[in-house]
Order: sequence, then structure tokens, then C-alpha cells
Amino acid sequence: MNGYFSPSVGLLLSGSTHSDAQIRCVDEELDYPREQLLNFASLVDDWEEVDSLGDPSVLQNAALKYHLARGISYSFGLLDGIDDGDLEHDLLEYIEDTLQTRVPMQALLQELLVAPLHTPETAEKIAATALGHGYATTANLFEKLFDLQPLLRRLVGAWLEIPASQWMEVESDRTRVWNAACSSGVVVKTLEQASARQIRSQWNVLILNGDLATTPTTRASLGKIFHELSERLFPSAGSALESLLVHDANEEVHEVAPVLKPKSEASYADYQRVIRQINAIIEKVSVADERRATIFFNELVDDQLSYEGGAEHAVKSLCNLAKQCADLYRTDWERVCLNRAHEIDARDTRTLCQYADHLKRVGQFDSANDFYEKARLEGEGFHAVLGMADVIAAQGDFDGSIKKYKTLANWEDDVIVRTAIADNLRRLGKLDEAANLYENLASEGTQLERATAGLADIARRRGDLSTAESLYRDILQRQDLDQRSKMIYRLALCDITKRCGDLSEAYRIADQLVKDFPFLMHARIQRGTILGMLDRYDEAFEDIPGETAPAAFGEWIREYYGGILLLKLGRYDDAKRRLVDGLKLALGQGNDRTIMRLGAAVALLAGGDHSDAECELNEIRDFGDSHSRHLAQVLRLHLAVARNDQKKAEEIAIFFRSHVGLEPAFISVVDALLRNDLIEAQRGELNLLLAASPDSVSIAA
Amino acid sequence: MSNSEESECCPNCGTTVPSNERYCPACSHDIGPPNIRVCGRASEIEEVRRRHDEALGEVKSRNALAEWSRLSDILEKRSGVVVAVPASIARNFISDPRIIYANYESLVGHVRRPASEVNDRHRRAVSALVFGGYGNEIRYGNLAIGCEALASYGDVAFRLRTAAVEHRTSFLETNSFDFAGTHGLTPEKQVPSGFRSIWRNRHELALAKLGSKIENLQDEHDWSKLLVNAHPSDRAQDDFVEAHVYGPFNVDAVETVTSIENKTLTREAKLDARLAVQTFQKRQSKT
Repeated sequence: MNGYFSPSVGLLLSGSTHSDAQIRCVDEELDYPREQLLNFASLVDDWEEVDSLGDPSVLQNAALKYHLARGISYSFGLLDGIDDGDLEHDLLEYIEDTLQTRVPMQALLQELLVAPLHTPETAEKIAATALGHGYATTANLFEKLFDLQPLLRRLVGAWLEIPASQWMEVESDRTRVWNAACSSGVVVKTLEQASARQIRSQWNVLILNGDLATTPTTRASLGKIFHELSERLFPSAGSALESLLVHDANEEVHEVAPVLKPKSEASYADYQRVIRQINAIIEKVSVADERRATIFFNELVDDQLSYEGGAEHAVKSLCNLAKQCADLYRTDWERVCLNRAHEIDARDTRTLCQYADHLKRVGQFDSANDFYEKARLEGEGFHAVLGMADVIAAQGDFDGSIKKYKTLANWEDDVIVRTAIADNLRRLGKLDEAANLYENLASEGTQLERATAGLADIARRRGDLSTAESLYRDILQRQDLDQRSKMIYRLALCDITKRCGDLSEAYRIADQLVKDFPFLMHARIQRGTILGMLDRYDEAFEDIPGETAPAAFGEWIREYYGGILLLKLGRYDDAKRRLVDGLKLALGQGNDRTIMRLGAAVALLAGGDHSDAECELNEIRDFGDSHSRHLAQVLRLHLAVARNDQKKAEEIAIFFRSHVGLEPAFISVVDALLRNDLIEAQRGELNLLLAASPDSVSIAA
Repeated sequence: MSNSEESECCPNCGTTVPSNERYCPACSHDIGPPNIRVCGRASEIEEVRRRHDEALGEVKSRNALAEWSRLSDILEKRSGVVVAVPASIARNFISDPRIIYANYESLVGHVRRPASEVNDRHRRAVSALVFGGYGNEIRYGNLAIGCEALASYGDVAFRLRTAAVEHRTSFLETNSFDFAGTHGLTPEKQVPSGFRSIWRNRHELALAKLGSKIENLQDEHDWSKLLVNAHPSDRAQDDFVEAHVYGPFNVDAVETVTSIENKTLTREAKLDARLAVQTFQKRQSKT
């Protein structure tokens, strides 16, 4: 069935006579009464004929065109100049929303490139205003529109210079062919081409458009016109940019030539702009919109490199971006940023150290040491040794790491080194020694916040949750905490309250963290585990993304928590794949490795694979974490009950009965096991596993 | 509202032309918009005058002659056609890319797309689908003293320039749907005389309708409301003098653009309406 569609009003009209005319709106927001349509239908002047109205893709395409038409109108309005600041803001906001959810930027851009702008600088001003409001995609649209103006002017000049005589043999006039070139994206693509041949191949697509040329003769004539156009644009071999600009006015050369501009005086505005660009990249990376992320990324770097002295700023921005990508678990993007920073300045010590840290986290220990060595040669000896010691710890050799720290001259006088040594002792499970060191540091008044956090973590490992909670709350009262430290301690406090069973408070903290740091994966996962403990699985899985190979230290928790949730849902095979197979090669040492083994053991027990479960449990080492230790015992008890091994079960039961101050959740699980209620027991075990505290989310990370 | 009971002769070739045709079927001579030919007949004008005089008699008896005279003067000199349109139409209608682009016409063509043969064909096809035969050339509006419009028909009011519409606009005493129902119109029963006017006697038609409501101490504000009695949430209660503009018009025919008040709009409609008003104001200041 055929019909008509109006992009401006979003209506589809079908039927063959007045009496059977049917009207449909392409968007739910639209709701025109039929009588109203009678009054305005004849005012609508953009009806298009459409085929196959019954095809759902037609409706979809119509909806896209409707939103595009509104985007075009709003862009026209802005380019014409809006005196009302509120209206300008609202239009920018709407365009941003449209570009985010309804219309690809390229589609809107190609509609705006129908002719050169009278005042191109208006587009640049709109871009700046959009950035000021935080609308990065819209800013990008108008910046591109501005950037392409010199090239478009040249293209239009060449197009209009084609003699009228050449159009005599073509059915369609110059205007109609140009309109077709604009709406099909040929104009935009032309501006990106690098040779006459490439331009011809773009324009020749139009020859196959049945509306423009219907006979071999007219097709051939159109082909000649396009050849003429490409020759006018490329009188000699060279880049598209060169050829387009070679004929044009000087000011156009200034706009695109690779001449370094002096640093803008509006440096604060530039800084704000960079921050917004980084935010826009992170936003795109977080939703895996690689194409736009890449566009924004290249723009950020190109912008900064276009200024004198901009390389230094570019490197800083890239390191900042890399850090945020790491928080998102986008190790691939982190690498892209660091590679680019390293290309720009191979001797920048911040990049070298950060790159080394990245390599350490992805398990490329030799390469990490190479980068630390480079940093050392550039004068960053102290940080390089700290990094190398971290590499050793990351391989599970906490003693070796401590030895490395002690190679530093006068290490006893350095509070950073002593704190690092205390951290390693803590992770090694030597809690008394670690506590002594932290207390000494605290009594000296140096590293007070870090030392207190170390003591809080030791309390947590010992199962003294009230002390741990109180210490973290004390730290969070401090006025001098920076944003990132505060975030880390809020995460730790959330973890403690979760362990205490105060799930509503834990959820409140996690939820606020997600709101404050929307791209912090740890916060999302923490919230997801709490939702999982509350049996709100759909919401939990929104926070804990699907199966992906953990690529770096810390990333295993996503697989781990996801696997436990699947087990709670009874999806044994999926859970096993994540907890047993998925975590085999994951990067993690110390108590983290213990937790991974506990997860694998519970999955194997659930599947009745007792001997493999026993192997996992036998591999577990005690790193001084009481929760992990008790969980291991619970699972051993579960194994004994499942095997009907009364003697072993009784031995373990005695361990629990004699333990003072055991967390209530453990008591319930043990009771369930002893009365052979394995279903209830497993439910409790899984919640205990969700409450486990990996070092990856504590200050030791 | 077919008016085929009377035919006319083409002044050029003498061929009989049906009253609902604008062009002579023989020589294509333009004999004028059919709605104007029908409503401008002497019998129609006389019947309107008769009703007008009748209303005047009543007003005299109520001692409101001064008000009648003032209103008559306002209607004759200042009343015009206002068209209410949805905000999306207004936004699209007002926008003029020529303002922001160089070389626009040489590249893209005329701004209003009906100039394109294909698009115009589509528009006509749609109008025929929606309106059926005669009505496809009529654009509906209302008679107003200022910019009063009917919120139930749109979000934005266009007041049209007199010069753009006076020669092709006729008026019906009330909404044509209501009128057809009230007077029991059928294909056989034609519109009774005295309820339609052309531009020059529109004030008489309006006064004939409003005469019984004109009272002592009323002012222009009261009369504006009497003339366009709008009920945004209930179209059935709207009361107004309906304007029928023959043929299309573009933004150049628009004198004023205003957002219609007292109406809850969606986010899109609000933006469209604000943008239409703003764009039109800028356009006016540039021209």
C-alpha cells in the first residue's frame, strides 16, 4: 500500500479515496485529532510519496525523518540567531537529546551542508555555547559544520561554475541533482575525499538514481558533469584539502592549514572545553559507542596539538582520560590513550609511570618493568622503584615487594615507602606487623588518613566490623580529603555496611556513589551485589555487565559477582563458565585469589562436582581475612555434609561453635547445613560470597 | 457546501462554467475563486444585509447603538483572518533557510517546496484525500479583530495580511461542521442565503451574528471574545466566524505570529511554537 508522509508534522497518510483515508502519527508524542488535520493538511508542504506502508521499517524510517526534520529546523533557528537565551538553551538541549537517542549526527550534518553559511562563525559560536552547557555532541556537530565551510564553499563554487550548456542533455536540473547529492550524503563524503577519482566514485552513485537519469544518454551526460566537477576540484594531483584550498581565499587557508596557532587568551574557557570533551569521550566509551568516541578523541588531541605548547596539555588530557577509562574497565581505551600520549612525548614521566601501571594491571609484568626503567632514566627513580615493587606484589610475592622497597635509600624515613610496606604486610596476612606500622605512622601524624584506613581494613579482615565502620566514618569526616580519596573510602564503608547486613544503608551509599561517579565500575558492581543480595536480579544485572574476559587486575570481580548471581538464579552452567572457567586466567593475588577459589568451589558444589570443589578448597591460602577463612570452612562443611562425612562435619561444626563473635549470617548457614537443608544453606553461602570483600575494591587496590 | 445550482458564463468565450470551478473548462480563463463568486452574489449580499439590519433594530431597542457603531467600524477596518496551526507546521512554515545560507536558491531552489512540481503534486493528492473534491483548495481560519485564534485547532496563530487574502476569502457565520448539522445540509439541500459573506461585507455578517449579544458599556476586549469564543479543551463549544481562504499561502502572507495561550503543550510543541514566533520576529526585523 502506498501513501504520503510529511517529515515536518510526522504524519503518514494512506488510502485511495477521501472516505477511506487513514492517518497515522510516526511518533507517540504526536496526537493530532482527525478534524484538526482537516484544517491544516493543505498547509503541509513537504508530503513525500512512500511505498509499502505496511512494512514496519517504513514507520521506523519515517520516525527518523520526522526527528531529523525537527533537528534541521532547530539548527536553522540557532544559525539564524536566537535572542532569547532560554530558548537557545532549550533548543540546544533538544538537539543534544535527539543526537544521543534518535538521529545520527552525520545525518543531521549532511542536511545542514546544503549550502555554505552566510556567517560561518555563527556555527562556531553555537558550538561554544553548546559546550558551555555541556552538550558535547551538539558542539561537535556545529564545530564540524564550521570546519567544513571553506571546503563546502569551494565545492559549491566548482559546482556552480559548470557551464549551463552541460546541463542541457540532463533530465534533472542542477538544483535537483544538488538536492539529491545533499540528502544522500554525497556532498559530505566529497568533502572528505582525497582525489578526483574518489570524488567521481561518490558522485557516480547518483547516476544510478532512477529519478535523476532514466536513459543511457542522460546517465552519460550526468557522468560527464561529475567528471568535470572532480577535475575542477582537483586540477592537479594532491590532497583534497590542498586542491580545494589552492583556489580559495587566504582566510580559508588559515582555517585549515596546519599552522600552530598561538595559545588562546581564553585559557580557562579552553580548559573547560577540554574537560567537556573528555567527559563526552568517557560517555561514549561507557556505552561502547566506539565511532563517536574515536571522533571526539581525535578532535581533542588535534585541538590541543594545534596550539603552541599544546603537546604538554594533550599528554595531560590523555593521561587523565586513560585513568577514567581504567575506572570504566575499558582497558583497551586506556591503552589507546596512553599509546597516543607516548607517541606525542615518549619521555613524559607521568605517561611512562601510568603506562607501566597499566601494563602491570594487565599482567604484562616485563613490559611494565621496562616502562618503569624508562621513567627511572628520565629522573623518576623513586616512583619507578615503587612501581617495580608493585609489579612484584602483583605477582603474589608480597615479601619480594617489601624487599624491593627496602632497596631505596633511607626508606625508613619515607612515610610513603613505610605505608606501602604496611600495605604489603596487610595483604600478606601479617596483620599484627602491619597494624604496628600503621599505628607508628599515625602517631607520627603523617599519613594519618592512609594509616587509619589501613587499620580499618585490618579490623575488617579480623571480622571486627564495627571498628572498621567507625574508622572509615572518622576518615570521611575529614575536611581535607580529595574527591578521589573520599570515593575510595565511601566504597570501603559501603562494603563494610554490606557485610554487617545493613543492606539499605549499603545500597544508599552505593547508589549515591553511582550518581556521583556514573562511570565508576566498582560502584556499579557494589550496588549490583547489594541488589543481588536483595534478590532484585534484573536490576542487579543492569549494574553487573555480561560475560567478558577480565583484561586487567580488579576486573575479575565483574565475572565473579555475575557468576554468583547466576547461581542464585539456578543457572548452574552459565555460573560455572564464569566462576570456574572464566576466572582461571584472571589477574589477582592474595585474598582476591582466595575469593575466586571460593566462587569456583561453590559453583562446583552446586553442580555436585565434589572432588573438583575439594581441590579448589585445598588450594586456598589464608591471607588473614576472617570472612574468607570462615567461608572456606562453611564450604568444607557443605562438602562434608554432601558426602555424608559426619566426622569431618562435626570437626568443622566444633570450629564454628567455639568461635566467639561470628557474623550472624555464618551461624544461619552452618545451622542449615547441620540440619542437611542444602538449599537454604546454599542461599546463605551465595549471599556470603556476594558480601566478600576483594582487595580490588579496598584501599589496597 | 457545493453550489452547483447556478452556473456562470465565461466572460472570455461564453462557455458555461460550473460554480465550483475556477477556470473555464473551454479556454482556461480564470473567472475567480468559486467561493468568492458564490458568496459575492447579489442575493447573498442582500440577505446578509437584511439580517444585519434586523439585528441593528434589536440593538437600537437595547440602547447599545454606540457600541454597535464602534464594533462595526472595528470589524470593517481592522478585522482579518487568523489561522491556527499546530506548532510543528508553524515552525516549518516560518523557517527560511535563505536567511542563513549563501547561494541557497541557486543550489537548492525555492524555499517553499510546493514550487517543486513533484511536491506540489503530492500536496494536491493529499488534500484531495483529506478533503475530497471542492474543499481541497480551502484553507480554514477564523475572523478576528486581533490575533484571537482557536486553541483547539492549533498552537500558533498566523494573522494573514489583508492584501494576501481579501480577494479570495469568504466567511461562514459559524464552523462549517456545526453549520451543516444545524441547517441539515445534504447534497440536495444547499446552504441557505444570508450566512456567508465576502471580504467587503464581512462586518455585516459578523454583526448579524453578534447583534443580540452587543450590550451597553462593552469594549473591544469583550467583542474580541464574542467574535472568537474559544474553548481549548472542548472544540464543540467553539463559536466563531469561519474564514475560507481559497488557494495556498506562504510566509509572505503572514502579518503576525503568536503563540496561542491557555493551552498545555508537549516539550516539542512548546519549542516549535517559541521558535516559530522568534524566527518570524527576526524575519520581520530583517525585511
